[in-house]
Amino acid sequence: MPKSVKDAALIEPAKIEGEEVTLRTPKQIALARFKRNKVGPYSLYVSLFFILAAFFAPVITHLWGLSSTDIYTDGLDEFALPTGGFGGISWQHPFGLEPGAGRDVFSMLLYGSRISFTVALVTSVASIGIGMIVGIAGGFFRGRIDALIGRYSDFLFAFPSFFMIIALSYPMVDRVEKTGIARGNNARLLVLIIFFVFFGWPGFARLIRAQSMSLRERDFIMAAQAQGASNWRIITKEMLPNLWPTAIVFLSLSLPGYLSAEAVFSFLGVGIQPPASTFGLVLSDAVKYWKVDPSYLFIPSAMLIIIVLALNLLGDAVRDALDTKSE
Amino acid sequence: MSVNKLTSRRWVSITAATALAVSVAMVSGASPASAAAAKGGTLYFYTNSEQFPALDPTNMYTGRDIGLFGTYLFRTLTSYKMEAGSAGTELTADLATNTGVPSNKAKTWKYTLRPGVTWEDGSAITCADLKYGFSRAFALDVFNAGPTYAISWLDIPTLADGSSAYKGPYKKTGKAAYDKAVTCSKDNRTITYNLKRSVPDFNYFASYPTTGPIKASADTGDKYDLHPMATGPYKIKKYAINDELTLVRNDKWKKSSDPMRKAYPDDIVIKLGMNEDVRDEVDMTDQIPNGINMDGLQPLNNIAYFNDPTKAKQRWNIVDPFVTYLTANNSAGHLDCLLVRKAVFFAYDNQSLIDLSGGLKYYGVMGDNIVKPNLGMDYAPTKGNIHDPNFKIGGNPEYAKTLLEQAKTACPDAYDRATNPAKGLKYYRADTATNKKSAVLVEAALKKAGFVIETVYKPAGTYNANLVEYKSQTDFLASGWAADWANASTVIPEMWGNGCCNYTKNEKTPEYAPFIAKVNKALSELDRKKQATMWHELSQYGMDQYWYIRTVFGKDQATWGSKIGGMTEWKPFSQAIYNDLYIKQ
Repeated sequence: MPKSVKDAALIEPAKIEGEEVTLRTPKQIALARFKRNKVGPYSLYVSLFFILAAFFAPVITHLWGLSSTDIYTDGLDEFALPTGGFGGISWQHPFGLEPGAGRDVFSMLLYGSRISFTVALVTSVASIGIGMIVGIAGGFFRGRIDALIGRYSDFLFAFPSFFMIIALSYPMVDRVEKTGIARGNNARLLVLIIFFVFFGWPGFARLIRAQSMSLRERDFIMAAQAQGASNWRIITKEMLPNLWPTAIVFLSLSLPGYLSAEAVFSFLGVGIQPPASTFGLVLSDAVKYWKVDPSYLFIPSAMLIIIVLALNLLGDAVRDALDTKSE
Repeated sequence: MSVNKLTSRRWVSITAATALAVSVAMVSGASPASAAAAKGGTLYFYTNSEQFPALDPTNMYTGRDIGLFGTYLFRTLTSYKMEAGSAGTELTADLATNTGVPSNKAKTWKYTLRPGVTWEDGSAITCADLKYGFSRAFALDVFNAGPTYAISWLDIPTLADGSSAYKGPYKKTGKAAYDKAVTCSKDNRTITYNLKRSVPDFNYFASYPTTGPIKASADTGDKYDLHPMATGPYKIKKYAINDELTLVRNDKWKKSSDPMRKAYPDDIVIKLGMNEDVRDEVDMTDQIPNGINMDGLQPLNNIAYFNDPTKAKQRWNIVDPFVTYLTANNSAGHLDCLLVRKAVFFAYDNQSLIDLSGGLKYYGVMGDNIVKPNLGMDYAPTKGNIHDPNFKIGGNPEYAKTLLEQAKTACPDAYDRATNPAKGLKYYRADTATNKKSAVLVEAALKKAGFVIETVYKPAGTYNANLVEYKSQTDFLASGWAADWANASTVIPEMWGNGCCNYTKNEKTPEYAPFIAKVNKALSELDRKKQATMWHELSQYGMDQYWYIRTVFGKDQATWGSKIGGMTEWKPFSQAIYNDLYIKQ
């Protein structure tokens, strides 16, 4: 199996009697490996389904004749609990009604997953961006820069980030609001993303640093250096193409991580606040109602589990497909 | 907080009302103290609160604590009769020999101490102790949570800034004036209070712990709260915040000097800081059969408990003396436009909010006044507000929109603030689970009518401490209040005038000056019937201004263990007649 484009080019196309073997690019190879994976394609479909559903939430709820902010009091009894079985599930309200306030759970979860996906995506991309730059800087230039970055990320690794996010979120949101960048939930979202990115990039940077260190010693980089290529050219043209697979694998694995982290923090009351809804908020609310309305707890939990599981399996499949060493 | 009366009860100076001639709906029978009442045993109470708002009598102002500690720990000159029914709203002599002798058109009140009354250290309670105790309310730099009637009534000159010339026992300023206003007889047994104006219900005030005796030599200022000296049948053995308060028998208390108190249990333990879920579980599974839940259950557990037929003898559902209300910030730059305030009122979805908190059955009904009907003659239905044909309990966004449309030309600034997405109204709330839920309903209802509203969650732990700061920043505040005794003089001036707890910021509105003039006239009116009519007018006046957006006449539920005997409602406080409580053997 060829290890890179350049290796592949050295191999003579094999001639087998009767048919011609075409030379495959790494992309095609990866794609074939992905397709060969038993769960890969399915997890991709499920993930895509939820991501698209979140993206088109306004359209879907509109077509269904629902709104995520409307109060459907008709479906509630005198104590504001949903009437009808399974938390008031009906054709009109496929996931039932929210006990207490009477919002439609289906549209709450659709809109909630928009927020969750946004946090997960923005955080992952930003962490990867920073991690990529810092990792290459450390791995390629080594020396003092590498030592500095290394000690700094050691410091961040050792930091009790979980507690710090909980403790600092109130004052941070306050500060962000005072600067006027964002207000209310936007400010809370911004603070949460900043915290996640702040503590998230060193892991990826380490990975990239190690890879760039080994890439730096490879023949084709030496050849480029011998021909007088600039550092910039070496990094962008020679190294980056070999680092992308790592980034993609990391992205697909960190998405579900941040998705559930967002749920945990909003469950604990940090992050998004009502009337917005996210998985964490719905779950923390549902815990109070589980005795009288178990489906209100079951449906969001099941949905969160399916999304996280699908993204995790997808991440595994992508890693298997791209990472040649894993075979 | 409009949806969580228990929380508000904990922090606002909510006090007792003499509930007169009200139909108190007792859903389940609580048998009055029977012959089976017996001494002995430990009586438990449990609460989610980490500590009491005040144990120091000078700062004590919540109805529950006045009833509870007034029974067990502190004696006062007068007391409400510890009896069921409307007899419980009548006064009786406690430390004094009678309920007070007024003279000089009720400007002078005289009390003589009962013989044999003592402190927990055995020393006799004297007039000097009463005089010292009464003086502490003037030290506003040390005590700021208790009632302020003493300051406004005693015949002591007022300084230019409106404060009293007397600054309490810790500063010497104005002591001569106080010594003139409150005098002791030579035998140190009779105390005389000289007042600025006629106060026919001074004797009711004399039932408040803040008027009770304090021994000067034992006074530790703001630390006295941790271990106040007892005069009642029990004394404090241990008070640890977030843990428990333990009361044991006060062996210096003599039945001969206190015919009223029965003191059945041997000791009383109040568990503090119990997790709400744990507390509810204790109730539902009868884990502490000789215990009483001081808070009430969470709404859902409450419904389950009240639907359980086996608990029929361990609960009640009564009309309590509280009015919960939503205050508008009437100052400039906030809701300083009547049309906008009215639009908020008509847009509000009261039905959903009431349902969320236990429904009409357990939470309460919409009110049309800040004076509750249980105040008797001082209550009269008002016109407008919930009697307006446009009022719909589930909200009337269309009508609210037309009001806002009128506001556009009548008060463009207030309109812009209420509807401009870049500005918008703010509602500061404590960061609690129930508030988050009701915020959804409030925002949805107001947005439907075209308002821009943002809920600002503030840390629950420090919310109350910061109220004074918040009231000028937020557009709405939610709270609750009950009359101190059966006179709207303890409601209308306190809530809308210059009393303790006016959060409406209405002082600078043009409607305020004529209002306060009428309030002062009503306060000095001696003809009780005429005074009641004046209160009716003033309630109507305030409701027409929508200084409060909405009021709810609340209900209250209590639950207790299977071995508790003698649970009967004490009307002034909507609490148990603590005196009758005993442990079933």
